[in-house]
Formats: sequence, C-alpha cells, structure tokens
Amino acid sequence: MTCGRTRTVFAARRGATVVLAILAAACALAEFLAPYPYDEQRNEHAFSPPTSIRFHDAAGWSARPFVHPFRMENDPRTYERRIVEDQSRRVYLRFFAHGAPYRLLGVFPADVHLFELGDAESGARVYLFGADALGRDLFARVLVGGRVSLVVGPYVLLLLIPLAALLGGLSGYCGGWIDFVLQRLGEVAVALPGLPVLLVVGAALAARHASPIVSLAAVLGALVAIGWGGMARVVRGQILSIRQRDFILAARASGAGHARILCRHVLPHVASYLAVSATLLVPGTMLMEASLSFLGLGVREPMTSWGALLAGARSLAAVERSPWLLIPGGFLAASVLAFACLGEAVREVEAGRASGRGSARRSRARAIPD
Amino acid sequence: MKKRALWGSVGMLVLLVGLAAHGAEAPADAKVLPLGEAGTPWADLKPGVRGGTFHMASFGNPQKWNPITAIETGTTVITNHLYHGLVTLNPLSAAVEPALARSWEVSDDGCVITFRLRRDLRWSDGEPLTSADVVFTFNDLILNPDVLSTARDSLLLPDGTFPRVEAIDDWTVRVTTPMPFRPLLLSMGKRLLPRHKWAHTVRTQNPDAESGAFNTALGLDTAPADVVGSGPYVLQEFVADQYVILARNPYYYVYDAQGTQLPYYDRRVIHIVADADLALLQFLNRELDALDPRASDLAVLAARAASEGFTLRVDPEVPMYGSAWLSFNQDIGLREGRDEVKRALYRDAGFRQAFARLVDKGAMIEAVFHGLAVLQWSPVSLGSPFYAGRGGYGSDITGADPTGLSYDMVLAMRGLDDLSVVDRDGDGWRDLPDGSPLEIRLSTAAGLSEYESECLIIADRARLAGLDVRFEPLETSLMLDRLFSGAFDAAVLGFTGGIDPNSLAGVYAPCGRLHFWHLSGCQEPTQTETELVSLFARGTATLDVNEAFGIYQTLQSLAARDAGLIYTVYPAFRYAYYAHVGNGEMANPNGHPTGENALAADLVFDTRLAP
Amino acid sequence: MLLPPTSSSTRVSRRRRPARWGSDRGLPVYVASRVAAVVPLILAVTFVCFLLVHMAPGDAWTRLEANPDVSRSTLEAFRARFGLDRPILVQYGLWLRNVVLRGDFGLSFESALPAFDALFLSGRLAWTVLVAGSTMLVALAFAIPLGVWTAARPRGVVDRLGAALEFVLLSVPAFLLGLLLLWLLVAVRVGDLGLGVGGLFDPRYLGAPWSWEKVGNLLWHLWPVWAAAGAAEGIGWARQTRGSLQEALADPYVVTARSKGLAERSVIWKHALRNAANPLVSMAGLSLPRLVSGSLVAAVVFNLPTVERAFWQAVQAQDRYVVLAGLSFFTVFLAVGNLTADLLLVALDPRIRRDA
Repeated sequence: MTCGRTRTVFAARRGATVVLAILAAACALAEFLAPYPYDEQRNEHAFSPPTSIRFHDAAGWSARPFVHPFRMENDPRTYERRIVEDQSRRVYLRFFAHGAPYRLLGVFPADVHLFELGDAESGARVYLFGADALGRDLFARVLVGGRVSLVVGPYVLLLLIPLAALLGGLSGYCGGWIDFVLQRLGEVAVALPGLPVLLVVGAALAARHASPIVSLAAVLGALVAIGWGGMARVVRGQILSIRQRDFILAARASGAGHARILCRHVLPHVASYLAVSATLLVPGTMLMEASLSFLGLGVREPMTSWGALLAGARSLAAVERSPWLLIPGGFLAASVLAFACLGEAVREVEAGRASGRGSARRSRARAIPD
Repeated sequence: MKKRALWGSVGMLVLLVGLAAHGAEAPADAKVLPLGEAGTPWADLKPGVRGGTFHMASFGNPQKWNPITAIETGTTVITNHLYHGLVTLNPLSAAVEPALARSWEVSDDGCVITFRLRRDLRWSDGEPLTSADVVFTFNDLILNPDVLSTARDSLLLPDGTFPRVEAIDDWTVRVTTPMPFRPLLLSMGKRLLPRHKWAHTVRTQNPDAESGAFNTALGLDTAPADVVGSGPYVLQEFVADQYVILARNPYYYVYDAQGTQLPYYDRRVIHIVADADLALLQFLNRELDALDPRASDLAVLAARAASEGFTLRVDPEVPMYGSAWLSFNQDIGLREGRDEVKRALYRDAGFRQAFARLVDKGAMIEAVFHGLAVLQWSPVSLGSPFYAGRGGYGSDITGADPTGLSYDMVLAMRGLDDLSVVDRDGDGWRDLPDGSPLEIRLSTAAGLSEYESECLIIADRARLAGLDVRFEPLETSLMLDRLFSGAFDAAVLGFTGGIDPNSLAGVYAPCGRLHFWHLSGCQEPTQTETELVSLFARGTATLDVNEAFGIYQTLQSLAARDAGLIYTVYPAFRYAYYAHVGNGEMANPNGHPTGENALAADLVFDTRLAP
Repeated sequence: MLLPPTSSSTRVSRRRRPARWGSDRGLPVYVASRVAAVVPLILAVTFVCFLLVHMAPGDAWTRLEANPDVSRSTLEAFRARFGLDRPILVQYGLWLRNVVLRGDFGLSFESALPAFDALFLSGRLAWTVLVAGSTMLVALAFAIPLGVWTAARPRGVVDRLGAALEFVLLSVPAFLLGLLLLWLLVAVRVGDLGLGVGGLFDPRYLGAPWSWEKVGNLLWHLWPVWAAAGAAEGIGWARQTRGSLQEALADPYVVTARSKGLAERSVIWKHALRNAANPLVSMAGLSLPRLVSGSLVAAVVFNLPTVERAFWQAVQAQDRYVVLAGLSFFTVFLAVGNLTADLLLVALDPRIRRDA
C-alpha cells in the first residue's frame, strides 16, 4: 500500500523532476545552446528586445526560420530605445552551426552551437531573450547564471546534511564531554545572526579580491557553518530518544559494535528527519543566494546568477521598457517551485512511511501479548 | 572693469530709487533681484510667494558642514545652501554678480580690488557680518597652511605667493596681488565663515588651538545651531542616510523687487538617496518636487510628463560643466613597498595612452546615455569659454578630439606590445614586463549606475585586448577614502566643473588638495607635472583672455596626452521638475548653466500658494 | 534563517525543548540559570563576530589616518583605547571592556562619529523595535485567526488558498515582494491620494510634530514592510497553527470536551489553542532569525531609518566597528528573543515545567 502510494505521489510530481532535469541539462550545455558567449558585449544592441524569429514576412513564407537584421535607435523625442528592423533582408538560422569556440562542460573544445545566424558578416544577431543594458545576450546569461543558481541548493545540502548528521549523531550517541562541547558550539552557531553574518563574510571576501566563485562558495560555507547547529540539535534529540530504547539495548547486549548499531538502527531513524529538512533547504538556499546576489554581495561580476540578473531589472524603467529583463525571475520561481514540489513529495512519502511504521509497530505490539 | 563696477553701483542706485517709489520693505543695502523685469538678466523668471517645502534628492550622505574642506558633492549640495561669498555668478547669464559684496572697484592694473560689503549684514545667528569675517575666512582659513582647504590652490599666484586680504574698515575689504591675476575677482567669491564661531579653532587666532582643529570642525556632530552661515537656508535637522532639513535663514540678504525676502520656500528637504530607482518612484509619486534622472529613466519620464504635470528638460545644447574620467594610481604599492614593476608601468605615459585607446566612448554614449552625452578629452568643461575645442575664447566648438587617443583596439594592443606587456605564461592574459601577472582592479562608487556601466565597458574592451581587468564597485565614502589616500588601483569618477580652468589647478598640481593619482609627485614631480603647474600659473598671469586661451590650449593638450586622467564622456543636461515649482529651471542644484551657483536655490517657489 | 518554515504536511515534530538545567531544583532556579546562560553565549558569539569583522583587509589605523575629518588626538585616543596595534585577542578584550563599561563601540570610518551614534541614534533603535515588533505582532494577528479558521474548516476554500499562498510565498524572495509592492503602489498612483512610497513617512511629515494624521501615515508606510518582511512568516505560522490545532482537536480530552457538550468555540479556543500555543511559541522563537533577515531586506528596499539600514550601509563601506556593533545588536536581539520564547514555553506548558 505504501509503495503504491509512493508511485502515485512521484507520478504526480514528475513534472517537477522533468523541469529540473531540463534546466540542469540546459545550463550545463549553455555554451552549446546559446549562440553567443554570456559576457560578450555589443553595446550598440543595449536593451534590444527578444529578436522575432519569423517564418513569414512581406516576401512570403519560408520553411526555414529567419530574422531581420536590426539596429537600435534612440528616439530623440521620447528617449525610448527602439528596434529598427531591416525588413528587406533575411538572415536564416542555421542549426548545429559553427560559431564562437568554447569548452563543452569546461573540458571539451568545440564550436558547434544549437542555432546560429548563417550570415555572420551581416552583423545581424539573434537574442532569444533580448539583450541587457550592455548588449549581452540574456539567453546565454540565463543559462550560465542557472549554473550558479541551481547548484547552490545541492551544494549547501551536501555540506550541511552530513555535517549536521555527524555532529548531532556524535553528540547524541557519545554523550559526555563531546556532547557538551558540540552542544555549546551548536548554540553559538544558532545564536549567530544569519543574514548579517553572510553579508559581512561576502563583503570581506570582496574586499580581499577573492574570485567570484571562491567568494560565493565561502558565503555558502558560512551558511552551512551557521545552519548546522539547529539541525544537529534535532538529530541529537532524536538519537537521545532512541538510545535507551529496548532494541538498542538488546543489540548492545548481543554484542553488536557501535558502528553497526549506528547504521542499522540509529541512522534510519534520523534519515527521515534529514530527508525532510533537505527538501526544505534547497528552495530556501536558492532564495538566499538570489537575495544576496541581488543586494550585490553574493555572486559578482563577471559571474552571474538569476538573482544577480534580476538586479538589472530592479528599476521601473527596466520593467516598463525592457520587461524581458525579468525572465530570470521566471526561471528562479519555476525552479524554486519545482524543488518545493519535490520536497513536498518526499515529505509525503516520509509521512506515509512514518504512519506505516507506526501502524506496523502498533500491529506488532498487538501481536506480541498472549 | 572699473566701468562695470560703476554700472553696478549706478544700477543699484536706480533700483533703490525705484524700490523706494514702490514702498518696498527690503533693507536699504539688500540685494534685490528684479525677477520678471524686462531688460534685466532676470527677465525670464517670475516673482513668487513665500511658503511651502521643497523636496529634492541628493546622492550620498554629506560628510561635514564645512565648505572650506568639502571635496565631494554630497556635502557641497548642502553647504551651497548654507554659505555665501562676496560675489557669485548670475545663474542665467554667467556674469559675475555681487553677493555679500555690494560693489567692487578694480584698479587699472588689475592688481587691487576693493570690495564694499553691504551694510547691516547678519549671520544666521544674528551677529553682524563685517570685513573681519572676510579677512578671517581668507587669511585664517582658506590660505592657512594648517587647513586642508580646497580653494587655496586656485588662489596661488604665479610667483608662488597668495593675495593679501585686508580690512580697510568694517565694510571695506581690499585684495592686493603683486602682479595681475586674471581669476582674482571670481576667486574671491569663496564662501565665508563667521569669525566669532571659528576663530578659536585656528592657531593664528588662538595660540592654544590644536593643530588642524578647523579640519575637524563643522563635522556631522555639530549642533545645527552652531552651523552659522549667510546663505538662504540654515541647517535644521540631519538623519544619516535619510534626509537633511534646511529652514529659512531669517537674516538672508536677498530680496525680490516686490520686497519679499528670499528664499521663497520656507524649508528645503534634501532626501538622501542610495537607490536611484526608489528616487524615480518617489518622484513619479509626487513626493519629490524635482529629480536629476539617469539616462535610462528618461523614457519613463518622457512618457508621463504631460499626463502627470511635470517638465522634463533634456538639453544637449546646454553647455556642460564637469568631467568624468578614468585614472591609474601612479603610486600603487608605494606605501607598502611592493608592486614596483606595476607602479613603473602605471607611471609610463605610454601605458596610459595605450589604455586610453581602449576606452570606447562611442559605445558609452550609445549604450549608457542613449546618445545624450558628448565625448570628453579635455579637463576643461565643455561650457567654459576656454575649452580648447573652441576656435578661440568664447567661440563655437569646432574641433574634435585632437589628442589622437581615440578608441582603437589595434593601436592599443600594439602599444601594449611595445611596452613588453605581453602574455608570457600562456594563461591568456598579458603580464608585466618582468613576467609577473598583471591584474588591474577598476573601481567606482557603487550605486552610480552610469559610472558602473562605463567601468564594465572599459573592462570588456581591456579584456578583449588581453588585460586582466576586474571590476570592483566600492561604496562611495570608501571609494573617496581610497582615492584621496592613494590606495586604489584604477578608478572611474568625475569632478564638477566651472568656467575658469584655474579651478583645476588643485587637481593637476601634485601638491594640490584635489590631486590624487600621483601623491608622491609633491616631492618628486614629473616633468609634465611641473610644466602643467607652470602653465596654470601663466594662464592666470595675463589679463588678456585670448592670450590665456592659447596658454590653456597648450595646457589641455598636455594634460590630455599625459593621461593622468583619461576623460570619458559627459552627459547632456537633464532635469525634471513638477509644474508647481515656479522658476523650475533653477531647481537643479548642479546649476544651469553655470555649474554651481549661489542664487538659484532662492528663486524657486510653490505656484500653488495664493499670492 | 536556514531552518526552513515547517509546512502543514510535515509530521516531524519540531517542538523545541528548552535545555535542561538542574532538573530537581525548581522553576526560579531554572529561569535564573537560563538567563545566566545567555551571557557566555553572547560573549562567544561576539567573539566570533569580532574575528569575522577583522577578516576584511585594511587596518583601522590607516583608514582613519587618511580621513581628514578625524583629529589626531581623537585618533591617538582611539588607538590606545582599542589597542589597534595589539594582538587580536587583546583587541577583543579591550573592545569588550569599552562596550560594557562605557558603551563605546568604536569609531565609524565613514562619518568619524562614534559607532554607537552612527548605528543607534537619530531614533534608529526606536524605529527598529517598532518595525520588527509590529511585523511580528501583525504576522501573529493574521496567523492565529487564519490558523484557527482553517483548522476548524479543513479543505475549505480558505484552507486551500492558504496552502497555495504558502507555496507561492515560499518561492518569492522578500526583496522581490517588496519591489513588486512598490511598483504596484506607484502604478495605481497612490501619489494622487497624497500617499507616499518608501521610507516611514511622506516627505511632508518629516520634522513635523506628531499628530493622528502622522500616525496614520506611518501605518500606511508600514504595511508594505509588514507584507514584505512578515508575509512568509505569517503564512507559515498560520499553517503551523492549523496543523497543531488539528492534532490537538483530535486528542482524546478534546473529544471528551466535545462529547460533554461544550460549545465548539469554547472547545477550540480554551482547550485546544492552549495546547497549540506551545509549538507556536517555539515556532516564533525559531523565526526570529528570519525576522532579522526579512527586516534587513525590507529596510534596504524601502529605505527605512532603522539599525538594519545603517548596518547595511556600514557593511558596504567596510566600516568595521559599526558592523561589529550591528552584529552585536542582532546577536543580543536573537538571544533575548530565544530566551523569552524558552521562558514563555515554560510558563505555558506545565509538562515542561515538571520535567525541568
């Protein structure tokens, strides 16, 4: 019954998994998917809207998609920046064409792009999501920025869960002075004011001229250093509550080693809590990174993330005149929701398992007497 | 010049007679502005009514209330409201106007100016303002070597001495120079401070004073009642990062022709803005009466101007005063005793010139300013009659950039190659001539998005040329600290400007107060720096403006080619103000068209108040 | 901040139990010992913050020396008082002594004023308390009735809306919410009604004497702050209240109360809610870090004259001592808040009292 329920739950949440998988793949293959490098500036195309990919114009239909070459113009009266297309010419899209060289996944040199403009000399460009204030391709930037935004959650997860489990486990299982010391350390960690400390760490690393990646990794590390305390405390509590249980004592009496006891009896107990916490961590961390980058103390130039891209859209002028600059917000929201969805699924599974376990225990209990 | 002074006195006499006929209440010796009267420079403005509060925005906290030592605009936008000087510029005609001085006489050889103060002038605390205050301000503050005054450099005479300022009687001040000093009249317009408040902080008046005590006087912890000046407003309240409230000065000496004491607005609230986006929202929401918009905001404003009832003025034809530049620290690593090779590179004019060819000014004008900016190459403001791009003194602007350092990637890279700045270790970035990696950290004041975008464009081109340039925005006060203590690498910022190139003397002289990119040059100036100092001196020594124009032409070319400051682009005049701000074109604190000027703040009024 | 909001569907007990001290010695001793335990904790945390703040390069002496607004004598006195040339441990000790004995947090590099003034004066402390406190109270005032309503009517319209809202607010960061509110207000032209956006007051009330209109204006400026800083909190509490209230309502004694014929409202409010109060207090205590971070973000977006805003400014300006003062403030705020929550728990829940 529980298994069947699991399948249903995951089937319902398949959309979330698919979305995340597509996003992750797209971001990993950013240089292939996008025709231009993410940091290439074409200042003359600043604030250009998403290029219309057409199959039809005044000259008729076309089987192959094309764009019109364009330039940006500043209207002297309204001060708007307008796109002016040269509708007399067509520049056809080419797929799997050669373009700017890059390293696929950072390793393999390549120069094939998913789509490119056939006529490189015409100076025509295709900006799928439009261009930003300096004429950089937003599509490329969203994909490259996604690498940071999608990774921060799992990164913090992989650091925090084992750390909290280990320290909380040691604390609860060993007791004595280890427990005392770890508890005090945990209290200090919990008492540190979270966001202010992260801001200070971010600013200090910026002042030390740390590279943007190192800087972000360290800020997230600080996040872990602050966050382990609360989690470890709960883990400790759970371990304490089962340490004296009959089946543990029985196992000890039968001569089982500590490690065996830990693995077979203790860890599964806390795994449920850790799994649930993990699922709630990822969206929270993604949003935290977005907030930090938006405020300028997370990811810095020349790196980018969805939060940092949103910073370019924070003015009314951007929202009114160049609404495509808000596209990274959509990606952020979608992936946070997808992670939250997955988390919901995991939690429901765990809840089902807990009640199943409970009912099994109850049934076992009923079976024992007489 | 004597004739002009005479006209001034006669004109004043005529006006006084006219006023007497109208039964006006203005004191006999007040400065009267005949707003709206045909035939005067003030004809295009309207007289207003008193009352109301004017809300404006300023970027950055003020750092002090001291006009003598203030170096950045967050401070001067406030002090310009609080203090006046002997003379000022007419905001419309850019001619020299009497301010606290009623009139002046210039001797035939130009070496003596006698100022006559208005009678019965009072400081904002009611104490009388006399020639003793003038003498105190100049001799004990501005020209005092103990005081870090910014104006001293512009009063340096060609022979290395300073003008002698003395009081003849309570109402007369005489300024004497041993030789003609062309900018003397305007240089005497520095804002005055009261002797009775600050004499105790300088050793020349009070032997027990701590050395340099005046430099820390009038800091942010000064009680508002102690900030005493003679400007239109007095300080009422200051909350850091929030606002400064200015209240009317009851002893202000300027009146309009109807006998109304200026300023019209009872209060001025200067909202301290960290976020230009929020300022735009507040302006659109009618919380601010005027706004200094960014180029990217113009489209939003233009679309709403008619329906919301405000005026958006964008005027590329208005002469612009000010500069924006990129600078390399030629003393980098000197204090810590490292980075010798990098320092030698920055000190090489060839490197700076090669880098100047990487500054894509056309792209900046296009992308950052949407076409509403002009290319800059010279330290002198484009609006100044001495700007070397003109055919002659005061003529039209004809020439393009004569330095030969326009954007050219090929020449830039060749220049770098010639300096042995090439990639030796194969990491894709050029290295120093000795093989060690070259990393250039380009900073600007964070939050000034136009400077930040300029930095990103510069960094992009430099990186394409193989130079590892990293962009690091810094908070404004931190940036200024680093700049003036020689602790930066490369920086992009700007100066306000003025009509007379002599105001730049303090920037280009290595010992000058506003100099920052080669601080050790004060002990060991380069040949170019020495030449520039001498050119500044020669430029002031002649009263013939055409001769001065020629000297300043040479100076500008030399400064531009030396590339101690590499100029970028300067934006067109742009300002927005609501219809209920009478004389709204005067609301811009940066002045129009004369750069900072003292009188514009008085002239705006609330049209919604009943006359 | 890292500990995520609990959702109604989680079944894992998140009840916090206060640390156990002197289990046999009674309540007053427990309270006293809890209060006493806060002090070493604050000391330890401020020490960590001290080290963190000194992670940034550049020393105070060089920075202040270059600043012409600082007189030589002030600088020398500062160096002596704070031991700028001594080892870091000694510096911490001196800093601590100055703070505790004289309330002297050091100098601000930016304004050359005392760090305490830069951070707390001009009413900042008062506004901070007002903003943070009111955010919490308003969030509670929304959460409890909403939680009760949805617990009493599960799967109703309000309940489903609440679940959806929780989901949405989970994915929208506070700064985005704040910005959206600002844009919305300007778009609907509240300026025509004479209402302002951003800050705590309309410009015309600045420096004006207090009046009922000014209070009303303050509330108008505060509600977007409540929304941006407290909405995610509030909806989380509502769902938690709903969850624990449902548990409590299913308890046997409640069934008994119902079968006794007590009015439904009486059952809910008196019996069940009192038992649901425990997790609510725990949750409020757990949310304190998020309250700090939410009000920091709101202070930046809305430009509020609070301690958080001054702290943010100091972080950007690398104003070391002001940053340290700010971190200490947040630490004390959190510690006192947690202590209050713990003591409230003890007061509310006789079971814990018995255990303690």
